[in-house]
Amino acid sequence: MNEQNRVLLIIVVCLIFVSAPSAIRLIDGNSSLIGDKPYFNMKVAESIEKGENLAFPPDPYQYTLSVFENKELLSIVLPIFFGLTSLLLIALILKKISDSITRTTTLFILALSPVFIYTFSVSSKYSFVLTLMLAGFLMFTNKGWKNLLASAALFTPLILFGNKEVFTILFLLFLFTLTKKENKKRFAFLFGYLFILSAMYNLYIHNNFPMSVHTDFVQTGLFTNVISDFGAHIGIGFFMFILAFIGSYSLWKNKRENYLMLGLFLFTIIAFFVREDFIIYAGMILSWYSGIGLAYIYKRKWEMDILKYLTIITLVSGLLFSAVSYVNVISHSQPTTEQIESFEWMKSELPEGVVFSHYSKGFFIEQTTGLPVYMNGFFKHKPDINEKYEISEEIFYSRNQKKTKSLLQGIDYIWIDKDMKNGLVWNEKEEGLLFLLKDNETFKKIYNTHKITIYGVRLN
Amino acid sequence: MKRHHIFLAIIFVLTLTFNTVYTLKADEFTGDQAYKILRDVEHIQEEGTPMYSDDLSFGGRNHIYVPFFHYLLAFFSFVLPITFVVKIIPTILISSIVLIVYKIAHKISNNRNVALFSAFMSGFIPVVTSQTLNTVSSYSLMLPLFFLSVYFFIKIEDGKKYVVYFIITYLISILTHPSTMLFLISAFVYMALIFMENIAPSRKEKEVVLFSALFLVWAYFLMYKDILLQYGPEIIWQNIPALMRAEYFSDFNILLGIVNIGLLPFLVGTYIVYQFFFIHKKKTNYFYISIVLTIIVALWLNVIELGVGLSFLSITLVLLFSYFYKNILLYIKKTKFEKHEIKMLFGFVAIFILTSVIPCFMQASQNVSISFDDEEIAAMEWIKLNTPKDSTIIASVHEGSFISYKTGRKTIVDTDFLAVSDANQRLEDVRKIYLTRFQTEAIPLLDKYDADYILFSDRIRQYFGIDSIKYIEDERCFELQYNERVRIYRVKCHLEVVRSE
Repeated sequence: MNEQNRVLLIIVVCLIFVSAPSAIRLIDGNSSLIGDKPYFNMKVAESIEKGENLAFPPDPYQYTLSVFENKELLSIVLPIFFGLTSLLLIALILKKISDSITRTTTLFILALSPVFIYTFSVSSKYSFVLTLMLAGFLMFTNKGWKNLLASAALFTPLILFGNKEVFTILFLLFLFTLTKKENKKRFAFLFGYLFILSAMYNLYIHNNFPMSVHTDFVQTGLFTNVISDFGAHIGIGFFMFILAFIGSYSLWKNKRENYLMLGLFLFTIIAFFVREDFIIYAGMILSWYSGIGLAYIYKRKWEMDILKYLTIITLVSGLLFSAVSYVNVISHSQPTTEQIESFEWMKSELPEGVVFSHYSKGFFIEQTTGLPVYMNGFFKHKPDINEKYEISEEIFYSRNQKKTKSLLQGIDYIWIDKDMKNGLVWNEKEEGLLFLLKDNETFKKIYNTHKITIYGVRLN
Repeated sequence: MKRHHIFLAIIFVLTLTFNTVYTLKADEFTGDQAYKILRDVEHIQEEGTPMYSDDLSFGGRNHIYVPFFHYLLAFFSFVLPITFVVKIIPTILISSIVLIVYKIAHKISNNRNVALFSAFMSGFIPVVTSQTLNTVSSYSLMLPLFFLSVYFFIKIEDGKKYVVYFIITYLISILTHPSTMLFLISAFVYMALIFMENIAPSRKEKEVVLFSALFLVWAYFLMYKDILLQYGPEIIWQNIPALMRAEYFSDFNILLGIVNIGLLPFLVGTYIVYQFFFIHKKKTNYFYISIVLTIIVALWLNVIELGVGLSFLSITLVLLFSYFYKNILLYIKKTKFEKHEIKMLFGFVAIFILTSVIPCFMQASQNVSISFDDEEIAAMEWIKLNTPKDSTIIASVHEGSFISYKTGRKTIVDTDFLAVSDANQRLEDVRKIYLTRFQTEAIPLLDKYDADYILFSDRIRQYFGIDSIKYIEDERCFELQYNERVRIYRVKCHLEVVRSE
């Protein structure tokens, strides 16, 4: 099989894996989008469409969604399109920096990596950001000022996505420039351009929107949160992780030549574990090292061929296994059919009122019921977010009726599901609010299924 | 047939006879786990597939395990009666350890007499007897497979066929028991140790270890995926409830080692580890050291059950004994004691018989004596004949699988905790049911599990340290339906919400 056909085959594999989560959901009778981010993006896009004033600056992905009528369909199709484009762009970039086998293994691993599947099957800014980064990077690697300008143009929207996107691309361009010193001037131009624009944009945000505060309640665990096989929502498979280390080991053999690659690996690993907001970029870069690892195993001279093929078969099966099980996990992620049914019931049956629930359910409730929520999962540009969180915690865990009643002022409905009862909020049957909910006078059960209960709050 | 083959055959027959005689002495089995395996084997016989969903254990749960041992027993059960198969096949398997130890000891010592003596020693280790005699334990297969893997691994430089043999053995052990991980960790420790000594591992070794690691991870990810997601790294403790951890993971100390492993292998083995580490630095020696180190660290960190860890450790120490014995013989040949070689052998044999063989016989008798007896069987017969099929029986954790197997009735706890989300709670509830003085505390718990009968046996008396259940004499709520040494009470009372208008 020649390389062109191999790439084509990988693109088909990629298409299958990125479209599988939505397809499986549809087959299971759940037509909702995957996760809460798409709902947030749709809500913002609708606000942009209606010309409403927002308390935070929207990003280009939300602007793109706002242009089209059918936002739900676009939320499914757009990431898939970006995914295929990104894979092609990566193939073109790799053509400049690696051999044919490494290209194939890297593309194959990327197509199967949980982080790639997540990015291009769940509607979020990252699909757009990555495509822009890759296209801009490709242009940067081409000679000529026209390509440089094209690169600058492609990187410009990254400023609107946030500082970490600008930082990430500048860091990668810097490393690339260190390996190809003739790009020094081009890098200096881009650095200056992006730095100035970014500074201006930050100034604009600072003057026009409330400041973001540090949210100390969002805690992330180490290790479990990055390996998808250990239950990470976004991460890489365990075999990819092992292969990434094998890849870096192969580079270590020529450490003098590969010091930058090794440095990037170290940096990526640290970023991957420590910074959740870099997990997608770091995961993509680690996929590249995994590709190098798999290529190393394939190219290495083995004493016993049978072991070589058994090892490769095991690795490929492991990668496939991680990908398949990850697709299975995200295709069954929230919102579930039961949740959607409860939201639809709320939309049709309940009068206007504020809904109290766990913040991770906020976007679903807001977007599908049209009712406002006490708190959702968007924490930026909200100076009072920590106080709000503390109040919601007090409501959840206090057994003091008087205190809870005073905190519930302004709240009309309480939405509780099985997740919340099974560890997301409570661990005991009659813990905190669950105990107080027995008071029929104040809390009236207005919707009750096996998994979801909605209470109406009557404080007087 | 060569002389040493005859002696080896005699040792094998001796070990097999010892194991078989004691196993057949008991009509039933030792320990609750044996009955779980019996149910699994019968399920495979009937359905052809492993019983991954168990309706009776813990009131219904997923039962996840690696099934090779069960399939092996099921295979023989097609031609022989199942009760005979589960008694005899594990006995043959564990007795085969002497053959494997002989091969490895011969490789270490290059002396057939030394290898024969080591083989004899490996047949009579108290802790191995305690773990495998009459228990239908998968360790009966796992221990020989583990050491067979060790043998093929140390032979891989002798020819490609050993690599193939190793792969086959290793794959079977992966499918037999997760303790195969001990081998893998030992291999990594071995690589690390030789690296520190500036000895390069051979290409074959590197390839074999890489493949072994990747395959094991892949296989166990595939099999234990859901449990891994549920428990994360805590899977190491097999979800054994905190209340029972002390029973499984006791602290290891020297006295415990001597009693369970035997004086001779323990002391000599420890001395040889020291020698290998600091004096006779030879590449292959590091592999044995790495096994010992891995097991000791695992025992120290309480990540391996004491009995299991000591079983692996004891056989490894026996292997190291062969090295010691060979050196002693060589040394004596240079001294005036050369003529007394036979006397010295008898001396070792005498010490070994006193400190290992006799404790081994005592352990075997104990295993037989704690097996389920006729009274318990009669009680089970009564349950089977006189209770509705969908009844739930309350019993201690060490009787759950026994009851399920013998009666086909549901129980709420047994000793297989993996994939049971509320194991700790259930264990605590059973404890309360037996120990509480108040009906008001017991009845809600009995209701919680839809319990219909409460079993009260000698095992429960002993386990909970009680003579009777305090609240059970109230005939309005509990009816004594079977009153022998084992008592069975029917639960008549249930909680109801009473509404006053």
